[in-house]
Amino acid sequence: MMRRQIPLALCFIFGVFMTIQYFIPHHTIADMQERVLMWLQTLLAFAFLLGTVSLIKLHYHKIRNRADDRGYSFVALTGLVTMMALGFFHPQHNLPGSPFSLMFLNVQVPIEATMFSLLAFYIASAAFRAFRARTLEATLLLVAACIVMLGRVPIGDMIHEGIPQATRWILEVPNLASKRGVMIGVGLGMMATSLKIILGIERAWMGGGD
Amino acid sequence: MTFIWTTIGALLTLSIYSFLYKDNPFYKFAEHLVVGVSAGYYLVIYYFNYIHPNVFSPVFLLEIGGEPIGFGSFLWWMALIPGLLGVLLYARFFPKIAWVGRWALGIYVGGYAGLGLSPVMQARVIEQLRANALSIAGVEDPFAAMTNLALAVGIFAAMIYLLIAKRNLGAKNPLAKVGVLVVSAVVAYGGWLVLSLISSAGVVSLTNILLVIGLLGTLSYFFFSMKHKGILGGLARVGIVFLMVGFGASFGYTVMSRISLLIGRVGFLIDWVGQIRGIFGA
Repeated sequence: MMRRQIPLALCFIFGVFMTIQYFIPHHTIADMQERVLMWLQTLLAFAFLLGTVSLIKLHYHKIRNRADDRGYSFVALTGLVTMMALGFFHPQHNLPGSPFSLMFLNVQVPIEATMFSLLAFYIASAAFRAFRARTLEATLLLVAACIVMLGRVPIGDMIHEGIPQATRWILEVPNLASKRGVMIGVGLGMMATSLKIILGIERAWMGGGD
Repeated sequence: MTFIWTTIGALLTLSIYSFLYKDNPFYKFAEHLVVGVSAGYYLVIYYFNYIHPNVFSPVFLLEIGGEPIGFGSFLWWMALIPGLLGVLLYARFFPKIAWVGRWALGIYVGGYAGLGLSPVMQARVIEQLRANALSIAGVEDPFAAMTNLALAVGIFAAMIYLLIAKRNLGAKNPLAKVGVLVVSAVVAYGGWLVLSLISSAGVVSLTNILLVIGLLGTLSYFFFSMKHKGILGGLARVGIVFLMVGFGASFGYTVMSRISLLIGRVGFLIDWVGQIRGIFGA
């Protein structure tokens, strides 16, 4: 009862309330919705803290067990502790020019941007291997990709002025039509899954055990 | 000081790019550093945006947004509840009482499932259908419609010819490929001429027709409750064509965004080298 029925009941009550509040334009309901939303956001923050605790545990165990790559665990923990110290102990950590924001702008942003840009190489190499015009569908995909890539750089316009126009047409007509179809399908899937969760049909979030 | 920070950013950028050669200690260093730094960054942001104003400040400092509240008052209890629920999440570290964490998780999962239900229906289903309920007549720009139709006719003709050529000559036959180009060009020109005649009497919007057919085709392709035969099969086939063009466009778009990032990073490194040369007077 306490272990499975109460969580399911809480899930149902909060799910139904958050669903119906959308259709009740009354300030009392709006206030309640705002408060519950604040609770959910706070829970998200606690969940993030939980994830950070797990990260610390993982690297701590690696260091304690003298794993081969424990040096990198030191690096990860040092980065974490440094950011926490700069954020929690610096009085105005969120101001531009503070050590906290300088660390963010000069360590986190460059590494993340470079990692994403690194994908340009791998995506090109994957495309080279995967994009063979063996079937009609593959040919369409290849042609559409080539036109869009050419149409979004100046060289496309230099080759032929119709290429940027073709790119725009591809993005605004066949691409939009298929994206709308996918979006509607995803939307219906999300609604079905949400209903299954609220009604207690989908219970994977409770995990295994009693 | 700025140069030191720029140098740190540049060295980390080079460390990440060193992965293009192979996995190495420099890359692993930067990778682990960003894991720690970003975890610390978001922890601080989440704490000061949510935990501090919603729980810590009202419960322990007895104030909300600078306004004092009474200990044990309604607002105090309302702030205590999410704090207690958040603490329950940590019960998973103690196996005997790990199930208590489900209470908080139930509220979180149910709340967000309910919160998303109606907006998803509105934004992803109703609005998309409304946006696609298009008029097929009264086009403002008949020229654009004609161009679109001519292109589409050409593409469809090329597809049909490709199928025929593949069957008769084999897909690898160069004659089939040349034939596709020739036939599609001829049919496109024919379509252009036909539409030029129609346009004088008022044309339909091909763009709108394609949007409607594309959406119906895509939805048909994902409709698995019936066998893809007959009309449904034909529509599903059209859907694949639209999906492939859409996937290709998305791929091209993604590649270009990544290339744009790459250009940005290379530009940053060039600036850094320029700063070094400026310092050493080279």
